[in-house]
Amino acid sequence: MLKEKNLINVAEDFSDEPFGRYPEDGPYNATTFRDDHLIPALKKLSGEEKLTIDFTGVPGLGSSFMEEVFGGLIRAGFDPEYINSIIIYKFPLAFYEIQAKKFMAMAKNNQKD
Amino acid sequence: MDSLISLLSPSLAIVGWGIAYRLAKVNSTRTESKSLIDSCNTLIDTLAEKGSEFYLSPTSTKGQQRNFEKYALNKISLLFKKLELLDKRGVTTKQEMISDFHMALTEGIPTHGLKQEEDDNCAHKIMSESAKISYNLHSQFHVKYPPIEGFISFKRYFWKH
Repeated sequence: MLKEKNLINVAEDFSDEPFGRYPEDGPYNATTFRDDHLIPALKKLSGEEKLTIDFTGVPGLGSSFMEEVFGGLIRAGFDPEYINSIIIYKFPLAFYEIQAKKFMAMAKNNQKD
Repeated sequence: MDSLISLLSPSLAIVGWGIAYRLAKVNSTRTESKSLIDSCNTLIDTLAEKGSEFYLSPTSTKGQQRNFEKYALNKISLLFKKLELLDKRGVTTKQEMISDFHMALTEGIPTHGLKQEEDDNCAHKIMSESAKISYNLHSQFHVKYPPIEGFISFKRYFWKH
């Protein structure tokens, strides 16, 4: 059974129309979501706990938003393998999960270069 | 002899009817799948055209960017659902291809108008990713529903479906 702290319902807790990378793109941008919602929720996890990110109710997500959220997590110091092991993704369409993982892998590769 | 002929005639009629029914079924499934592919290609072409138009225009306001993103996301969702239907008919599209097309369409939206070179690259990427999906749909269709060209391919076609 998930505890409340282990769930981010994006449509309810943030916005059902997230857009853009940075605050100058609008109030519901990826940087704000990552820094104010996702990273604090990840830091609250303990032991074997997992975090569910539920995008139900969000009709679609732009790739710029996705890159800044998930690629940004890696740039903020998180490891892609760790993130994939503790996050349960619930996306409106299946290909978004592939994209999130791709952005994390790309961000990790860019760090190596 | 008479009884053999009287038994053979209805049997041949039943077998003939079976073949005709089976061919009609295969043909109608093929037509339905082709029509779904055509509708996917129309969506892909429209998205590619609108996407290129957006990225090749010199500037855009935040409002225009949001509107284009909403439009692209709605159409991509519709395309994804149609591709799912085709998948059930054996015409498969890799999720990575849809993801790459989605990336080409939406990743550069918030930075549109800042660097012309990047905008041009986005437009080119849209065209190449859309072409990949279209080509894949057509080639998968020909594998799944090969045209009947002679007795041998007719036999293969008949037993396959």
